[in-house]
Amino acid sequence: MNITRRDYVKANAAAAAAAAAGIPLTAKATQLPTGEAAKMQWSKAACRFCGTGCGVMVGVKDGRVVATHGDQKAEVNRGLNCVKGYFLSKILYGQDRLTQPLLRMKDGKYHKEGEFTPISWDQAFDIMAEKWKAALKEKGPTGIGMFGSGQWTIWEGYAAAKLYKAGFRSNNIDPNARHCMASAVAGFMRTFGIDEPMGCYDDIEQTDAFVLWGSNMAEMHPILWTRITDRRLSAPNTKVAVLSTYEHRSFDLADIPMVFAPQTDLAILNYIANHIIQTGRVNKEFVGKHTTFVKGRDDIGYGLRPEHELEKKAKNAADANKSDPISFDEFAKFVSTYTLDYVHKLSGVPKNRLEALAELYADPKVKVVSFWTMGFNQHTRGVWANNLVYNIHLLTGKISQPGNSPFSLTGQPSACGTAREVGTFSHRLPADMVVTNPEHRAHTEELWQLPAGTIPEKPGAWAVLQDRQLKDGKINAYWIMVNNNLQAAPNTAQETYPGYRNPANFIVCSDAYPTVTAQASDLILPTAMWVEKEGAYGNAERRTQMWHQLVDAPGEAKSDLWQLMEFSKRFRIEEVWPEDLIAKKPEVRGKTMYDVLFANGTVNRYPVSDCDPAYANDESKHFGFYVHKGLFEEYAAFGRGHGHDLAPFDTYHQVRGLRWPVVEGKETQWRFREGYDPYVPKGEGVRFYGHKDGKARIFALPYEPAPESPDKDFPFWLSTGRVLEHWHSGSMTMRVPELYRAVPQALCYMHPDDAKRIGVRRGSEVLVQSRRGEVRVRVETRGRNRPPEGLVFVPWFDAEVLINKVTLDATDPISKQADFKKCAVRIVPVVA
Amino acid sequence: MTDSFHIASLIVQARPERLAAVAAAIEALPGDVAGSDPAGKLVVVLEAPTERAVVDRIDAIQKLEGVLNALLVYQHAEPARSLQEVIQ
Repeated sequence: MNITRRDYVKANAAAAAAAAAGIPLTAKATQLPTGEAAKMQWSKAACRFCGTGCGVMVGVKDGRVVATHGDQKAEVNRGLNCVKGYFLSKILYGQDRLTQPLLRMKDGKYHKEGEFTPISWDQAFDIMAEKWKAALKEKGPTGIGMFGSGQWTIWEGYAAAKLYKAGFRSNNIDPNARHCMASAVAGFMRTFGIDEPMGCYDDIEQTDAFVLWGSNMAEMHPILWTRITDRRLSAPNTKVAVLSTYEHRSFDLADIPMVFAPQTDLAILNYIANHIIQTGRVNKEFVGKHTTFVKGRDDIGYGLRPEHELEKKAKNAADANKSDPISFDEFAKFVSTYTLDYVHKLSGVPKNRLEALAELYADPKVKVVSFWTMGFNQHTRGVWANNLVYNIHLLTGKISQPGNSPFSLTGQPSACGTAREVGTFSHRLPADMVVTNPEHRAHTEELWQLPAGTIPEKPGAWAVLQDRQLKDGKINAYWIMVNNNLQAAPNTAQETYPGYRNPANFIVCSDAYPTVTAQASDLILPTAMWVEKEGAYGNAERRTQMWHQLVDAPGEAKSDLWQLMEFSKRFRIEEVWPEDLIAKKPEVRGKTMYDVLFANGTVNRYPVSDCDPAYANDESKHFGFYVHKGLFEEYAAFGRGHGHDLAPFDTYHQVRGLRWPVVEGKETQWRFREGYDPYVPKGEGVRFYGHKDGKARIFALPYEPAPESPDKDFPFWLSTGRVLEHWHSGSMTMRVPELYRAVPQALCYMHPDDAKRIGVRRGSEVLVQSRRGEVRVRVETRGRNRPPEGLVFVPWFDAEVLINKVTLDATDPISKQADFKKCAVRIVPVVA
Repeated sequence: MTDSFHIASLIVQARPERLAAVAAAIEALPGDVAGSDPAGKLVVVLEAPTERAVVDRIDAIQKLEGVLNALLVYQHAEPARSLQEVIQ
């Protein structure tokens, strides 16, 4: 019998699915040929999209990715993929892939209003270096900036942070994770003194109840949702509670569905704490041993420009992050006003559902996992929401043990592993350290072999502030990497676009595709993506995963790592450091930034011969040493022995990821609990060792209203978000022309009665208008999202519907993260 | 890719009482049901000359009555000619 490649591929496809499902194949599908199959090379990688961190197998034939399938050996997804997996091999091959540097030029030279013209990398770095040097000369280190990403690989983020904070001595570097995870980070740091979840995905199979706070996991984390669905169906006593400001697909599985008025999640959380106390279900032993109580500052403003009325009125805007010790009794009194009656009236949630929800937490027999994402984090009180959900897990002791887990999910593949852990935020250094702490700066300078005083102590500008400073002409040279900020930033037409097109500024955008951000820039750098380079990501459960370079990048496209390191060669240290600093380490004189930061004896200590000969490694070949290993090992020195231990570099190329801390070869599933976490001293049971006293903080924090609520002129709430098929701004997923047919354009989801009232129907075009801007969009009244009356939902993936022209640039004053879920709009029918 | 061929496999979770009807509807799309579990799971293989056709069928499966979830496991795209090579 002749067997063709087609037969082989079909049999392989069936076998992979059958193995993942754990069911046998029919006889005709099991005739799997062998031998010649090796025409394809299969290698492991982590999925390029969300923060779940699914393992995928990537099939390469003739230098091209032709197939992918869910990795059966990956604990996260056990052979499954969500529909975005279908795009994985295609995102590399979009028709408009960028393959050479493009500079705006007129009459043969750079011109802000010129046409994009192909140039060489040499020319690109020439003009960039010229602009950076001019900005540094005129304004100093605060005159330059960078906006990076939770999609950077670990070493890319690390190299960028080092380049800016040590090389340029500028803390004006921030990741797009600021729009995504900053409130979660600040929540962790305030309550526990150490970042990232204590539990892991294994909690899903061991819990009795799931509570989704502002997370539509059915669409945004489909693989985790499959695991939740399996748990709910196989253990019928399991309960699922879903809270949101509108109904979405996750409501299909909900036993306790709750639609609440925007911003009142804060009151619901305090009601649950009050219910636990009033019904005598505080775990007194746990609370006494492992927690202390504090009262946070209230009336902290909304992170708007300082001249805004709301900021001038706010009492504690200047010290929003401060708190003072209180007693348990004072805490109990503080939350006692959050009664069932009050919170029911405020939130609009029926009383029996609020009680059922509170009982999931209060009942000592029920194990509970809380999940949240952007509903909590993109919130002007997002840090508070994070603190308040930890309160209810701490009051009941339902934390740091299998099945009891407050779990902050992430949206980007390396929001944790890169953006948070390596120190790309404008106030952070590697391993949870901060620039404001002199000991942290000294420790970092020591590991980086730099003179004392290299790293500036003042935090740099964060995402929203960078945009304001670009618009105001305070930052003049700016590099955007692996993000589409013009589409992603709040109030983008008034606060982001003007800064990019400000004639005083030079904007560089590194991307694989011509996004709206790239098109608004002055220089576009073509970027190698995903398996076109060796990479590592860290997912939401602290799992670090690596992959090899599997194919070559097209044309002149280069990895972000290559771009960052190559650019550093363009600066002599005398051009970036003052004389008094150089005097402390005179041997750096005459060297380049590249020599001081990357050819420093540490980063360049592993030879190219250490690279796996089965795979290409473009950067290592170019620079002459194993770049990825050197950067990883230098970075890992920050965490080892400090609760952030990573395994040796080579281990990660063998395993399907490991969850840090990895101590003596063993990963950690549950932190802070003796028996699971090697950092908890024997006999202590539990220790929240992020704080010096070993205790977690329970915060007294009130409900406070949103900065802008619907009124007579703008009577609707607007919430923005994602849809299953498109990831974030659609830079990658919108590139496969046939595929956006399923969800070709963003829609305005609204209640049918609201539609009727304003005289529109499903499919009608409307203008969604706020005080800041408007978009034109079609109405959907029957789709997957079902808002209550008075609220509309518009996703942000569609560059043709730039909904962030409408949103408000208010942020949480502590985390500086924008609230993309709440502002006031009106809906105006478009008259044909 | 022009003249390419697209193959995908899925796990379809469906209500047990609708499993037979769902399987029949998938075969009619067309699609191959390569395995099934009476508890409510099907292994499905799709092949088509365009990506659009594959995605349309995944979409159609998701909309079938009784289907809870259609999860992708494997996807493959290759020039049609190279898929016709005899390998054994």
